[in-house]
Amino acid sequence: MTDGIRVEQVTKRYGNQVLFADIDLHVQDGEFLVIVGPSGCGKSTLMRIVAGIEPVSSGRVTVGGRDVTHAHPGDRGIGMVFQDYALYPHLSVEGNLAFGLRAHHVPKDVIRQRIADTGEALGLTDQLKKRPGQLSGGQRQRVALGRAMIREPAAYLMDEPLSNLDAALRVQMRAELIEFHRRTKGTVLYVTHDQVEAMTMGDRVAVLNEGEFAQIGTPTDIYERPATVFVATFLGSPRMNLLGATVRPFEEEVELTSGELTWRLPRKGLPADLPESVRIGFRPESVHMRVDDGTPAYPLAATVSYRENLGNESILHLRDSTGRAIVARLPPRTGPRDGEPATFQVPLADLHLFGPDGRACWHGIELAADGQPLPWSA
Amino acid sequence: MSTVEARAGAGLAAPAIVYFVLFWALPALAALYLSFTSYDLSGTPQWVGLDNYRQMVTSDEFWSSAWVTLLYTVFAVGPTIVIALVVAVPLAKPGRFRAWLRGLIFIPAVMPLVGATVLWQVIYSTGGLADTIAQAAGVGARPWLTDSDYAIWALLVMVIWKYVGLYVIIFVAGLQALPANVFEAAAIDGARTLRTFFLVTVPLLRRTFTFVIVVAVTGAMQSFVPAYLLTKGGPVNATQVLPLYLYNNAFSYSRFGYASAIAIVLLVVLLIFAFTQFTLVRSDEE
Amino acid sequence: MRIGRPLTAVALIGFVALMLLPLYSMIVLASAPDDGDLSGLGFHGFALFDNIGQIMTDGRFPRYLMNSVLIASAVSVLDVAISAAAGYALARLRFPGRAALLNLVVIALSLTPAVVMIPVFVMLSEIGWLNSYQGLIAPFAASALGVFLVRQFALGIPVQMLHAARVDGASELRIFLRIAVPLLRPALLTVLLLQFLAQWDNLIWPLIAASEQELWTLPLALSSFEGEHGIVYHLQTAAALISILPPLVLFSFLQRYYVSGLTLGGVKR
Repeated sequence: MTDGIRVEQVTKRYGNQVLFADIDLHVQDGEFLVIVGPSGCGKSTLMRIVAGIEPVSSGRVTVGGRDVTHAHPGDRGIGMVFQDYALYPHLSVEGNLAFGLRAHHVPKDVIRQRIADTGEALGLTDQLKKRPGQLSGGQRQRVALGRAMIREPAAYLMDEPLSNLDAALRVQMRAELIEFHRRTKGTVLYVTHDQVEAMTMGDRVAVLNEGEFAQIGTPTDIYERPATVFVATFLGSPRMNLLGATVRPFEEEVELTSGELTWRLPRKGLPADLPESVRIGFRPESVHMRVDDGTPAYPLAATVSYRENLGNESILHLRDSTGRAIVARLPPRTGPRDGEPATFQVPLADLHLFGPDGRACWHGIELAADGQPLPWSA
Repeated sequence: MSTVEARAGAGLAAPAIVYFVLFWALPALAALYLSFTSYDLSGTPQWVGLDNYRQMVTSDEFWSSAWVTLLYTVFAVGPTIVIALVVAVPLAKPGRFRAWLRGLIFIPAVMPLVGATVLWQVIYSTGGLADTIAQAAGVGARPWLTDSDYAIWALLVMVIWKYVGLYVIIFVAGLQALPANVFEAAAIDGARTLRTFFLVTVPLLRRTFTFVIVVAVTGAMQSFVPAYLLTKGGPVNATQVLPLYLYNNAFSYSRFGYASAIAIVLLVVLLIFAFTQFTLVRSDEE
Repeated sequence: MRIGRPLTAVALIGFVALMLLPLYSMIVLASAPDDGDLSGLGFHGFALFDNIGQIMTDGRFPRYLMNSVLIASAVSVLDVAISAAAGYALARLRFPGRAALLNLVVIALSLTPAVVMIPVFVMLSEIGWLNSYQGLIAPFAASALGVFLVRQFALGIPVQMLHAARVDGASELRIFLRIAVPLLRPALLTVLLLQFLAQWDNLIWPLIAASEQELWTLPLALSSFEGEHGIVYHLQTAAALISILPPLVLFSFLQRYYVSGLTLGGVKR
């Protein structure tokens, strides 16, 4: 039907400072795309540019196939949900919903009908006469959604709507937003700094860092095949372990030396031009206790410096023989005692290699995708 | 978008800009210019250089007026602030009865000054309330407003009565904004009421003090109505404060140049005062 | 204070009584049938309504009253409108002239009215606005304090909310009128009240700019009561009583706006 949102070659400058240069993004029709990134990465500015609150320095923005680069925010066919919702506190729910329609001089009976429909769709029918201050947190979010959807926009913009809520409400509201998207099949561009929101809500996730998209892909993709060290460490908690290593190619294998560890990987499946120095990455949950059952695996000798028992799991803070910190995530009540040396292992399929430029050059999971046997996986 | 915003902002601000240029900025410049001229509204202002200022510093009437203003300011502000603070401390605590008393004390401050002054005209008249109280106290009736020994004090009593409630309210607001734990700490330290007052309350109220002093002093120095209505500056200029001196020169004698020079001097003194006050507080807080 | 508590209470009540004594005597004096007893301590008959009736039917007093109401209302409404627009723009919009306006407000705040009084008088006499309603209203049509107060308050309006209104398609004017003005209500009421009271009590400007009795206001009428009626203190006090009633009534309804306006700057900042 429509074309979602397109950001094409957009540049934003403040004086001499370039916030981002020539960036592109395409939110497909009906897609829920989450932009995630640390504070100051430019994600909110990008959203405000799409909304028309912030002008572009150059480039093009289209919504539903229409060029809206220079259109007024109210004429872009977008509905927006703001941080803290930014409801009009002096107007009733009805007044909040009707505000945009009145601004567009929609006839009164149409306004009344749309309010009734929207109120019903969002379960707000009994709250229409109340002020935002009299509503619960969840009802407020629904009013904010109602205000965005009542003008039947071609796309929704959501700017960290959950960031100031308490933890319990945030989980509940996240579920409501996912449900809202399933029901309306609307195009949604969602901005957050919260990786959990990004992973759980987005059809696709766009990781923005220092004014550039480090990676755009499905949550699984981004988690399993992070394109850069930044993506790898930004998503996932505790963050991915990274160990510096040097590469020595042999005929059939490649030898990785990291501290006192030496790992050998099959040459096949690795890129031919592997740089001399790399970083090996693996997530805490990929660290397992060594199972001495004869299968080949890469031993990881380390000492537990301390552990956090979280009930459902234990986070172990380890030091290897050269003093490098490694974090492991194990089932509760497992693993060695504090101060005790032990041997761990990491499955080959869970390894990632990053080049000196921070870009990923290999993901162990690709071996699995090739359908090869994984000789050293645990 | 930003052009829309710029246009809207300029549109909303335009009336205010026009007003401030027309009724403040340009007149201020004009006053400075007029202060170097001789001007009686007929014809054009004649440039006389520093003559007006020279005339001012050699005029006995100006110096007498400056002295009266100083006296008036010191004795209007000092007692008002002391009384207001002493009353505010017990009144600042919560309670419906205290809220009531605060409201009552505030009434004179809410009254229009002109109406209040007219009332005091009667109070100071022969056989009025002032005479009645003085007789009851064994002092006897006095010509409150027509004797140069009494007139300024009579004026001051009225002014203190009129404004003390205002400063009570301001002090109460200041006191109520102070963190309660400081007083609790002082009480635990065993500080007595008076000690707490001088060593905790007064220093913590520094900002409020500065505000009150600046407002009270600048207000007193510009005070026109009581002297104009009660005594017309008399007897024999004993209550001719500077604003009244200015008014008389401008609108009784049509000496607009000279009056402008008085206004400029008044402004400079006020600005120096306010500036030093705020600088003192700032350096104090660093 | 523990030991002195009853003493403190007695002293406070005594102080309040002293403060209210002139007001009591005002009512006594205004109710007196003649000037026989000026002490203002005891009632000698109650002729308050006769006195008020006499003032209202005798001479031009109703006219003065009407002038006062008219001018104070016009000035305060204009001030609120202009200050609201300028204060909101200063706080929440980027526009050319913003710095200029801010400077003008600071200049006006630091100038004393005595400085500009003479040039404004000369200017109005040049354009023939002396002895006119516009000449009594225009010099007070806005106020630095008003702009400043609204600006401070408008800084509390979340920018997000204005963005939301823009995305809703509202024009900047609509946002100002439908979002900002309702949210600024407490500040606007404070400005309205302060300016109304200031104008109700404004003596010096009408004294200068309105020599024609048709344009006299209450303060001017009160200040020349003797000239018009001879010495009739009971009537003069009754007239003064009329003049203090509207501010007292306004105050009792809008106390918190009044206090917030007065104490602005004394506590915070």
